[in-house]
Amino acid sequence: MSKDSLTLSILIIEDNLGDFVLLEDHLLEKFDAIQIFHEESFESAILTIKSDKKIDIILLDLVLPDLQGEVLAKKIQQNTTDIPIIILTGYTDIDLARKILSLGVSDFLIKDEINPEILYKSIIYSLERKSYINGLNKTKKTYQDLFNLSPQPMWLYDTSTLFFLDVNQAAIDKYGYTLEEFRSMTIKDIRPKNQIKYLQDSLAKHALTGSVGFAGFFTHTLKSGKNISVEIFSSNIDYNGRLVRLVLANDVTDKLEHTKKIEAQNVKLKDIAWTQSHVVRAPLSRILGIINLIELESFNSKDLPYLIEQLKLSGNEMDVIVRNIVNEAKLLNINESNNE
Amino acid sequence: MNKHVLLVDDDPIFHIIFTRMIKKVYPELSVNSSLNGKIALEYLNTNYSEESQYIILLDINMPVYNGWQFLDIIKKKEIILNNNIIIFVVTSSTDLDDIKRAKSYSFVKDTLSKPLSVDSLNHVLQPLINE
Repeated sequence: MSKDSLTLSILIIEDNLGDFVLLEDHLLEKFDAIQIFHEESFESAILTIKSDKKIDIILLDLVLPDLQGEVLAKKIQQNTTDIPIIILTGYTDIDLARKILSLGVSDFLIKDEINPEILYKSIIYSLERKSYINGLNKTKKTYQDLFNLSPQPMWLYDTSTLFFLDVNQAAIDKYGYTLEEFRSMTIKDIRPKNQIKYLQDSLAKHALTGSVGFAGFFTHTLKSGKNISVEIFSSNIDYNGRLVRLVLANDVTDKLEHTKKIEAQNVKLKDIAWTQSHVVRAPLSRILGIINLIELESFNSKDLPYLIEQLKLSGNEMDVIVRNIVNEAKLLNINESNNE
Repeated sequence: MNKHVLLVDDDPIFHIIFTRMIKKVYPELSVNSSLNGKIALEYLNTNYSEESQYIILLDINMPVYNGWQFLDIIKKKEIILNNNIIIFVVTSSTDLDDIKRAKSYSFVKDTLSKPLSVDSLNHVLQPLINE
């Protein structure tokens, strides 16, 4: 039978030399390119694990001179996050085996029953399972990061109690509460008192019907007491087996402020346009009217001095109006630069 | 038929310009000047006759009763049904909203923009005078 050419480095933690030699024989019978590290105590094993040696899998005897049983398995595991561990023991204690398996140990082999086949199968199976679980964890982490590291404040709340279940870092930064504080609060606690009714109406319309997407504009209160305007998007999601509401809050305070300023400016500009049409045209039309009259009456009219005086007055009136417009337009500019 | 021209405008200079122009172009017409809508209404209340023809040149921006108020009040008066009152809205405004609003009154014949030229006066008055 041909050997597996998988490159593997295996740490065997076994104080009984006879057992170690047997294991080594089994391994060499099945694997072509393995490297074996051997440690005889918990203390020395930990040193090897913590060193920069690359270890792919650990075979662990459950009875070592300095540590045994469940505590030993736990301690080894704490120091090896990604390395699969196969437990070896002479005990035929199934209960202990089960218990240790539930800690996340990969497999459990009874020494008296070990042969090359069983050992080989267990190692390959443990490695495959570990890489599969690592893949799953990576996916899970990616999705958690999408929530936790999102630049937009997000949170989850329970639709029946309204308590916050989880909030992301952006929400913590924006609202000023810690995660613990958030978890002891309901979504009512981030609203001004006069907005509670509005919130309840919105909950009836969106959260309870499970609608997805834009839920409206709301006022939220930060820990500092400052109110902000937010645009809320929400949807129902399954969270650890229960249905909860996922909320994304977009702070539009500045945007709304900006819009208000632009609207105020538009009113001013309209005022100026109105002035142009009504106020400026009044003396201007008078000037043109007087000129029409002078033309009509010929230039040697005895009223000419009077009409010229009127021309002058209207001209001056227009001058004042135009100056006022210029000043108002200047005021617009000053407001702009103050806002920045 | 007697023809009366009523000028309703708060600008005394415009009155001078207008009356002189009328005197040149239509010397037979008599012009009555009112400085606001209220005075014009009072004039109509006391002098109105079914036998006469009234041509009102109405400014919009005036104190006391402005042009719109004048139009709204006269709209409710029975005399307007006699069809012997013709109103022209004369304004220095070039605002399209004002022009639209003025034309929404059925008895407003047209809107004129200041300054009034002899040509525009002829255009407006000639058909009425020569009736």
